[in-house]
Amino acid sequence: MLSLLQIELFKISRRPRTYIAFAAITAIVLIFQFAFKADGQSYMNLMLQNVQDNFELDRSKAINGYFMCYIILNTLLVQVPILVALIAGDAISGEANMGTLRLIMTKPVSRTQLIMVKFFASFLFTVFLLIWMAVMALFVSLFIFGADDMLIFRVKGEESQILQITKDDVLWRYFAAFGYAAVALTVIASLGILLSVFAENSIGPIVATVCIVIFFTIVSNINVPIIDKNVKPWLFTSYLVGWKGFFYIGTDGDGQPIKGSIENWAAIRNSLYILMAHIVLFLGVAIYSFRKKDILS
Amino acid sequence: MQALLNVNQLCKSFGQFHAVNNLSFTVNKGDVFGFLGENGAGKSTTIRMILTLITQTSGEIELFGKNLQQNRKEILQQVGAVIERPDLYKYLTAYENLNLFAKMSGLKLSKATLMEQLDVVGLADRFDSNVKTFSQGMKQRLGIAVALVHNPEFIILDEPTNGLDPQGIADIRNLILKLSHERGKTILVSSHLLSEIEIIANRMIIIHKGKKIVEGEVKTLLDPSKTIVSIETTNNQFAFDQLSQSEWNQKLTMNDYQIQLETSKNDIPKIIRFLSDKNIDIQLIQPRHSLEDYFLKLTKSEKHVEPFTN
Amino acid sequence: MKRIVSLVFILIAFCQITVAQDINVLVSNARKKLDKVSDYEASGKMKTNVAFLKIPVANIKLYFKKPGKLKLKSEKGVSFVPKGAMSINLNNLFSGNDFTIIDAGADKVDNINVRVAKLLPNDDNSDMVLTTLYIDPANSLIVKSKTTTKENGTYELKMKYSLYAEYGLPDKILFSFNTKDYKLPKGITFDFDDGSSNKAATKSDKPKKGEAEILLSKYIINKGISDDVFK
Repeated sequence: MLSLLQIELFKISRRPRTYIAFAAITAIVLIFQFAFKADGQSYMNLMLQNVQDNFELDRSKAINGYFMCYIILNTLLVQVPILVALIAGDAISGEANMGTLRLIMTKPVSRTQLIMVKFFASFLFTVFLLIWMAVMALFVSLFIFGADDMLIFRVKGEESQILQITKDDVLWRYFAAFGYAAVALTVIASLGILLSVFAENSIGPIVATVCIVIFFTIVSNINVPIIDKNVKPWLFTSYLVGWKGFFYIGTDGDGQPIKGSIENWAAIRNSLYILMAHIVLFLGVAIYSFRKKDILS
Repeated sequence: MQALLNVNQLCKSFGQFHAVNNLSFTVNKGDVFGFLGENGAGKSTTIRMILTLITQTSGEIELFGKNLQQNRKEILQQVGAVIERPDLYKYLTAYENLNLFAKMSGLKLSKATLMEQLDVVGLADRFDSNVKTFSQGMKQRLGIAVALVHNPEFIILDEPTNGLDPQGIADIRNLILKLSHERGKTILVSSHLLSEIEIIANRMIIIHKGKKIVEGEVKTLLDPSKTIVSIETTNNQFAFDQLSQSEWNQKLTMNDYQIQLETSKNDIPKIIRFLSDKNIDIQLIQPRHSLEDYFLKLTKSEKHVEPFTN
Repeated sequence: MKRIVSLVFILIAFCQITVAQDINVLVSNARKKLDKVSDYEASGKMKTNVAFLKIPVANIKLYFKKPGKLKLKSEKGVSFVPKGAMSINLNNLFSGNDFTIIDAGADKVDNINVRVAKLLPNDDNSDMVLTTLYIDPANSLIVKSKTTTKENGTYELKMKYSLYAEYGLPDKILFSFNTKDYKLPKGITFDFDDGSSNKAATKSDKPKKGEAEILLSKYIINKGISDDVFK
């Protein structure tokens, strides 16, 4: 199993398409950093809205590395599922398309093994992608913009809030958030693998995975009570942004943030359970279907 | 004779379509077994079932005396296969491909061993080239190297000469014969060309529309006494009348332009002399084996073909 | 922030007053007390109570230098400083004596008997519309003030004095101000909905009250301050 995983990672590492993802992340992050270095004020103005009439804020301090990383992740984690789908959606179908699937399956490798290996390889790819994101979006931002207290602009139901997390209370939240994101993106990976079982070209499952994610995301953002209540909880995409929960710092009765606290750990934990259940479900169906499948490619 | 592969009443349906229908045959240890059938006869489906790529609807496959489904992993360790086009990872080199599939078979081979394998198929000098730069013949040979990398007992080659130039075809033939004679491998080769099977196989099966037509020793099946001789003369009717009164009148037929009869290949000179003696000018005389004749009829997809009898 | 504090400071400057005097004298006494201070550096904490702001208590440093230089610095980190009071330069207002003082009688602030003075600017273009001072006549200290401005609504200051009362410098300032409701457009933040938000939250367009509580623990008075601090 381990040597199969090595083989899989070797194959991924030798494919040019793998590096598209890393290049895309690098490019997006650098553009963000450049843009905010040049004109972060405008973004701050947008986020502060009318509050800037009432308060003065040292923006050069507020636009710091921690803040930048949050802004970048906010945008990037919407696109990264596409990059994960690019690898996972290709897992089985790509081999079918190349004609190597039949060759692999005539080797003493079981189908369950192959799916699991593909899954772990996609998972590791996702983790590497996130590590790269952490390096680029967090550490490079900290290098460029420095570290300071972090502001979170948040819409909570009908309210909007500005949260401040002191700088010595931020880093662990990022590690937790990246961990959460790894789980969330692994759901996309297992969905991609599931869809790739049914196709004999890689474009289909990749596009289908991306479409499902986009469609679900749109539905989960419709913001109509009937959908919020009845549909949203059933869509895994509603839980993809759960990493932000680690930045919703808990507050005391006075509205003072409590250092080291999370407002709603139970919600994050439940989201994690739901995401993991999706991984198990998608992977289970993938294994079941793949075991039954006649390989005709 | 020890049976290595036993296929018993194998059936595979895709919906209403019966791709393989109650097929049984045996490959013995040491055989080069020809698996003959037109395109779409069910050869690939059968081979894929033997390799567990497809699950049969019913029937049983036994390899090395063991049930395939229940001992899949163990059995496949002893099987090497090239199915249709030998598709490999185009973005990897020949060496990398070979090494990768060796590992998949659970082997850690030294570079020297792998290079030796590449040398067997004549690719040692291109070991470092990406497969995407390879010709069809080179890919085919690399595919065979991949099939052989774990030194399997049983080798399955599905249409190995498809799309190859004459030199490529000759190379593959030589390789098959070498594997059989020098290394004692059991090989199953599928083809839609009888002429190809005739050269390399010692036993064969012909299938048509998923059913077995005939199975047996090539020597027996291609018995020279079962030769069909086509004759064209300046006066076919007269020739036909004369032959009707000869010893070759048993299986004698005539159409608009040809006379056909079945006899032993050795009789051809006698027939020529016989016709010459009757002052009949022969324009063409063509011997063809009756099995080949039969197979041609099958592949021309004639609506109704009587079962072949030997 | 610096302007709130300058307001505070200036108001405090008027707090040297004798009982039941003419209101003009009361104001003038309070001011005299403050005039003793030509500069100071104070350190303390600021706690902001605004519904939508979840920010920690800030450690602040406050610098003042005559005639009207004032700077509030957060010792570390990012800080939101209420802007409200800053749109008026009270120093100028008072230094020019350019306002009319009206005696508005007596009142009570936190159980202290106070005299009430209303200050009306003589300059029609002044942003300040009206300032009401609540002066503790016993100590000549301004314990509360209310200012209405054209631009930023009304804000209120409450002061508590102890150690530095002789300079008219408070230990505790409670600054109340109006703030607009903070509303981010939906869909730009893609927030995680943990299902806990109160959907029935009352929406109102009424101005919201905000408060900043400033505790100043230590003053260094009249030791001279470099102008660089105010840059």
